[in-house]
Amino acid sequence: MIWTIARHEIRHLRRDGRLRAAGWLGLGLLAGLVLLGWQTWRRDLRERASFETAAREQWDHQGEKHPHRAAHFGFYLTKPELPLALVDSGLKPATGQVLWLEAHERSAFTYSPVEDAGAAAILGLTNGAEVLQLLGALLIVLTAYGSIAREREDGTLRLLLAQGVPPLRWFAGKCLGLAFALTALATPVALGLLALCIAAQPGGFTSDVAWRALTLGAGHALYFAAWLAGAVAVSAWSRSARGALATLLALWVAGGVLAPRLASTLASSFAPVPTLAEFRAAQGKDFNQGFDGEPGWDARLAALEKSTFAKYGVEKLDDVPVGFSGLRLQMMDAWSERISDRQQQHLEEIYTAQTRWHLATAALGPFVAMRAFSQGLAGMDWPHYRHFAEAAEVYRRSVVASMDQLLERKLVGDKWEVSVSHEVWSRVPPFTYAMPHATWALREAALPLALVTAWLVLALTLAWAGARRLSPL
Amino acid sequence: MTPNFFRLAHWEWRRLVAERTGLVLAAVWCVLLAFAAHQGITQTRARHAEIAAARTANASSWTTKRALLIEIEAGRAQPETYGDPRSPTHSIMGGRADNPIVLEPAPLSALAAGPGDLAPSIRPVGMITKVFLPAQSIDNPANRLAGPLDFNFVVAALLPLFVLALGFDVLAREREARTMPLLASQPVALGRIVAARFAVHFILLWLPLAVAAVFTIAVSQAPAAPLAPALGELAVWLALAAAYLVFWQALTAWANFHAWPAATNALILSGAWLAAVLLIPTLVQTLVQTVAPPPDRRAFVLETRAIETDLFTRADAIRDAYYAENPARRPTIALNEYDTYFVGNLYPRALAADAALAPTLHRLATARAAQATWWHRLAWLSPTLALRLATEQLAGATPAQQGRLIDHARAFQQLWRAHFDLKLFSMRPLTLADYDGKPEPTPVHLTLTERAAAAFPAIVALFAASFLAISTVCRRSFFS
Repeated sequence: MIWTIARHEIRHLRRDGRLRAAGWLGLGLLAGLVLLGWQTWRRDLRERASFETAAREQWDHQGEKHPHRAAHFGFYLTKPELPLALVDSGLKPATGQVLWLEAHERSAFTYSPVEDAGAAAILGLTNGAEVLQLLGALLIVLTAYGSIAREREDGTLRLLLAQGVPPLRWFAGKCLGLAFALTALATPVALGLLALCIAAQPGGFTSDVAWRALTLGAGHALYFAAWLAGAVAVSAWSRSARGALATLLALWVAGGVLAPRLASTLASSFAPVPTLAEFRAAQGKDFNQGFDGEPGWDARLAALEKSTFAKYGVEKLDDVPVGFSGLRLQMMDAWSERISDRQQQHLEEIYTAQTRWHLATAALGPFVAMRAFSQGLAGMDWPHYRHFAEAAEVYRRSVVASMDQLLERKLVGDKWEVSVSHEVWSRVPPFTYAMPHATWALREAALPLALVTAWLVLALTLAWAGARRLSPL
Repeated sequence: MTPNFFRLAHWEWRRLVAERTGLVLAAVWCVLLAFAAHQGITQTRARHAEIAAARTANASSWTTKRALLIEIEAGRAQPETYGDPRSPTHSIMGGRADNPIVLEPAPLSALAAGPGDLAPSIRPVGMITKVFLPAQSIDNPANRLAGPLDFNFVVAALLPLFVLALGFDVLAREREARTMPLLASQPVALGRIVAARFAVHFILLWLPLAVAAVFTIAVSQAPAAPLAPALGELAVWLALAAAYLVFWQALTAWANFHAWPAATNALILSGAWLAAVLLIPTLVQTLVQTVAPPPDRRAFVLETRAIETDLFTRADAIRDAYYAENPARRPTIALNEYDTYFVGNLYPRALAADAALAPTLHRLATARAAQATWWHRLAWLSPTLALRLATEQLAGATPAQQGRLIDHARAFQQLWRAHFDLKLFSMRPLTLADYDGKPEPTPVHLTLTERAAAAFPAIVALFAASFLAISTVCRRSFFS
């Protein structure tokens, strides 16, 4: 009997022209954005590779130079992207495109695309995953809002119950029919996206990426199941199809359109990020005055001079047999790095608090949580950017330290000027980076996934309760 | 306006109160406006505070140096190793000597907190500052991507939904309750009934918006700024919001004049909202990126580094050429290692870099301008996009308008260099006259005329869309 009801539901959906039109419109938009994403991603892949090669060549051929000036000339790096990023570009539009590594300063992303495009550019949807999550949910709402309420309104529910059809079986048949129809629509979409990701970079679609893709697909299945169960539940609890539609559209707007903005406002109100000037002032204060009872820069420099005099048995900096400027820079960088780590940790704590505020707005709907999960699995969320930036920072420190040590070896006394041949630059090892594994990404995105699952459980519970109290009125 | 009109409006008001739906919607609307007001006030005050702090720090730094100079010249103090106020390299080179060039927030910036968040309002400028480089940001990218819940967003994206929720069944419900024949038999035109009902909805939505916007602007103005001009600009902004509201009301009325059921109205109007707010901006965004791609920043990085490397290898030749052209500026004293690098290498390179980078910077500005042109050309496709662009321009926060800050900063840098150039190149000690005669940084004000001129195409697009919608619905009501 369940299959009969399901088949009837599928037939009804196939005949509904509005749904067909909405489906085609959504698919068209998705295809457009994904194809654009595919084209952009492929171009970006080529440009990233040539950029890094050119930037490295510029480093190698910067000519004879003082090692510290070479450290300030620095390196430029770009974060690698998985093929999944062509579907979900995540935070890319708002994060810098390149990372500049130079002496003294912690690496920071610069040149975010949104700065050039203006705010009008972030009014619409930015990638295929957002279209899928937002418009896919809307399509489910439009498909399912009347599934129960319409039957009640038309009086067919009364007829069915009078004929002795068990309400729970009828309900299960309805859900099965809807789920089957939507799966039939979603499967080619998912396979098409998968094929595009593989075609974008066949060599880059490793087993790790396949696991990420699989998990991403499973996450989306949970998300859409939550919307479907929720839509059927609202339809079961509503007295009219109109009421069900209004409720579901309100939920969709609240969770999909309002929640991301609300999240941003709540996050910046309750966990404000300091201004750049404040951040730098705090770093400067720590540097000069010290922290946690540790002495500041002047005291450290005096101690270094004293210990150097004692070590080499001299009384003047000019008599030191090694380059004191190299020693001074090594200590300055080591001290700056501790301060930078401390301030960065504070900043990351604020980001974490902000992320919690973002996820708190998942109370309005599962979209915010799903978006965070999707960005995470695509390797385009903040934890992935941070992972890359931390690896780059380790590299930066090693390069800068090697330049400082060069000064120590090449100079004597308190001299500063020295030029080093360009062969030295070529000996600096290239930066290598491995993206974190899928399990790491899943662990980082566990909370958003749990929230999506919670929505599914809530929706199923409501649907079950709605089915149990099914009445013709 | 006749007594009949007011009576009809009064009945609509009573219905909204009795059904509670209207009151709930009005309450939700007010909560959203409160969020937007909070966002605008907080952000604008933070910007004013940031600007004031930068100015105070700058003034304090120069006052301290000047006071030390007086003490040293009077023999009452000794200069520090790297802090001699008479030394040009100690006093005017380096980040601590930079002057803050400020883009004063436009009066309406509190209503468009989103765009403002993306752009810095301060550019530090000194002898060797690379003013063309992007300002670093430590904002959370997730926040930047989503954008805040500001007035711009609340009006552009959410206001239409309230209009639709209040009015989607303004006539359809009469048909569904079978009271339409009774209504049609009354000696009042159907159009007048609909107009009276929508007038109530208009007041319910626009009045709280106006109150919240006036409050936000009044509270968020800079302490010494006069309020009257800001209120004048606010009137323009509120007129735009009213036109936008009327557009959606006209669309809702148009749907109601067709004999569609309320649910069909809701679906059609939701589709229109989806198209105007999400789909068309997405397509326009895609199109703009295709026909006028944003400036290639990675290529820019490579170009600037190539220029820097070239200038570094030719630094001595550049310095010698400068001294050959300006023999009076050659140092008359022997320089130490530190001064030699700053005077004989870094500063001449900075001068040469500016000239070498000019074509690249021009190309970036052209790419930005092309993007802005395309956004305006395509604003006609969606009233939401037109409103968004118009309000963003009026708030003075588009990338092209932000470019003015960089232009002003570069102009100030020329003044600054002209004042200190001789002393730096020749390494003659700075005097009190140099301190007292130094150029003072002036802020950038985007005048209303400039902003209105930039916003004009989008404003015209929005008013034209509203006019078109009203005239269409008037014709439709005549035939109903």
